[in-house]
Amino acid sequence: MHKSVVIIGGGPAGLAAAIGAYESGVEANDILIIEREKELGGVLNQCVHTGFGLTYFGEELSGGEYASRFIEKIEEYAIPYVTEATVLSVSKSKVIKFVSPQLGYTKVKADAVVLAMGCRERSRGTLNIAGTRPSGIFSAGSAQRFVNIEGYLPGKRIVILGSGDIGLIMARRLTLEGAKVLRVCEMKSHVSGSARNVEQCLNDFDIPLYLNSTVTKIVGEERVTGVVVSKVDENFKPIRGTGELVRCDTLVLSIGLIPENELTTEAGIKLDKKTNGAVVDQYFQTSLSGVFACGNVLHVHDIVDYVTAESINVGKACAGYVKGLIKPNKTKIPFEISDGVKYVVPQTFNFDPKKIDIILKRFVVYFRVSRDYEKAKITITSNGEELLSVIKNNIHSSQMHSVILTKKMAQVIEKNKNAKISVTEA
Amino acid sequence: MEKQFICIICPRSCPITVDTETMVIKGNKCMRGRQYVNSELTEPRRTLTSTIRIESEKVMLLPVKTDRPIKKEDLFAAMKKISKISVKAPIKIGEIIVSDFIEDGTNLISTKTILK
Ligand code: SF4
Repeated sequence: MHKSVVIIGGGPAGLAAAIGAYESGVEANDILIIEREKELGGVLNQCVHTGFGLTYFGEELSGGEYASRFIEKIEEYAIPYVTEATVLSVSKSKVIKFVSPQLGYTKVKADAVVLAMGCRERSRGTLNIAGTRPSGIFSAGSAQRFVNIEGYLPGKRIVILGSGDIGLIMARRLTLEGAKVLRVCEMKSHVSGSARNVEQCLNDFDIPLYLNSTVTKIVGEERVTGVVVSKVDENFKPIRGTGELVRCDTLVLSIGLIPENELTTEAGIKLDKKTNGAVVDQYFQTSLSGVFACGNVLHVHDIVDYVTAESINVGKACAGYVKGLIKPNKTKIPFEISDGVKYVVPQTFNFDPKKIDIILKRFVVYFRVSRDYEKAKITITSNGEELLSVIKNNIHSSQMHSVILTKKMAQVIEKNKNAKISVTEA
Repeated sequence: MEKQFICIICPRSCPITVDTETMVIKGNKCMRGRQYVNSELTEPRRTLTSTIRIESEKVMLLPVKTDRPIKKEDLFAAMKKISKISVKAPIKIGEIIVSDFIEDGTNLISTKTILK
């Protein structure tokens, strides 16, 4: 089989990339979406709560409603997709091998590939919690799947470790379904999820939040019977003598997400240690020419609306690549970061000097900062020349931020062959 | 008296303070924040989302939501009603599952299409 654009992953990123490619002129039949689950939509299918679409559509939708807006477009455009498919490999020559009940073992040669595999949750193993290995320990996402898809309540007395958004959402969901959420423990001195979720998921239901505290031991033989919660110091080391046994039957972990990049690594694509995703240029093209990445496989986003906006552009870029508008393998300009910046995406630039805006009129730069700022000055410079400078209030290390590069700025970067993003206290 | 709120209307999560005597509001980046604080002070409301049983070849549960925010104090009573509802496929997204389901004019609607 041959396709112009093959998209790995039918979640929000993959769907938007497919729509972007189609709307930029790739024939529907020249696109293929490969999805692991039974239906398109990815993690949105288990997000029954609302809060999606506020930025992208200006209305508040549930996860399923948000996904359906895009799935309906895929159906309307008649873009082919295969479900329950497992991708085995992506080769350097862009041959994708996958197996599925519908098509069996299939090889598809692609002109352009979009990596949109999303992310998975960090597990207990990454935490080094002492104690036994009883049942009753769930990641927030699997607890969500149990409640919202399978129809089981994972437990009755629950402690949640980690204050990621999925954990906060599950605190409310489990409470509404009749479980008692005893507390949410967060190792850091601030919440990782959004403030609005603390308000509507914890405070609305009087669920206590314990900052600077973590689970240091799990107790129970067959099933969890309790956890020991300890205070931690500023280096996240448990403080001796602060341990307190909390009786519970379930521990839910909401301790972060990691991009799922096994296929990317095997294809020899360069990864960024900070994002755990691929290193990309302004079109979100990876180090392997014609292979693009978007969504949570590239860097973990705070909200799905940003994933959609980013991925539509990647679909456009794919269409441009297929039409030969992007000249591959040119020297790349590194996008440097200053101390205050945790990471930036894209990490490189690869402009065509004469046709900088041939595919995208402006380029979005996504970044996270390494600490909190009350008032931050964000600047982008090239050879010391200031291209952009904005002041933003209340910049939090737990939030993703973005700025926009215009064609003019891109021209300077291309001419000087260098660029740097800095964040300082204003 | 000064009261603190976190606006839950959009992801910006603005911290808002309000002087309950003068009703001077600070911190909201848009007018929806003012409306939110007003409703928090008089009658807090939340959109309720949940799942109900569905007879279908493919899935066990159908996601649902209230078609408008309901009184916060009614959330658990509404959940109790929801736990007793079951439907049969096909169901379309946006379809009313039970109209006026907690006797305040709020409808329970489907947030997903299940064809079979
Ligand atoms: S005040 Fe406006 S901008 Fe701020 S959180 Fe509320 S809705 Fe969003």
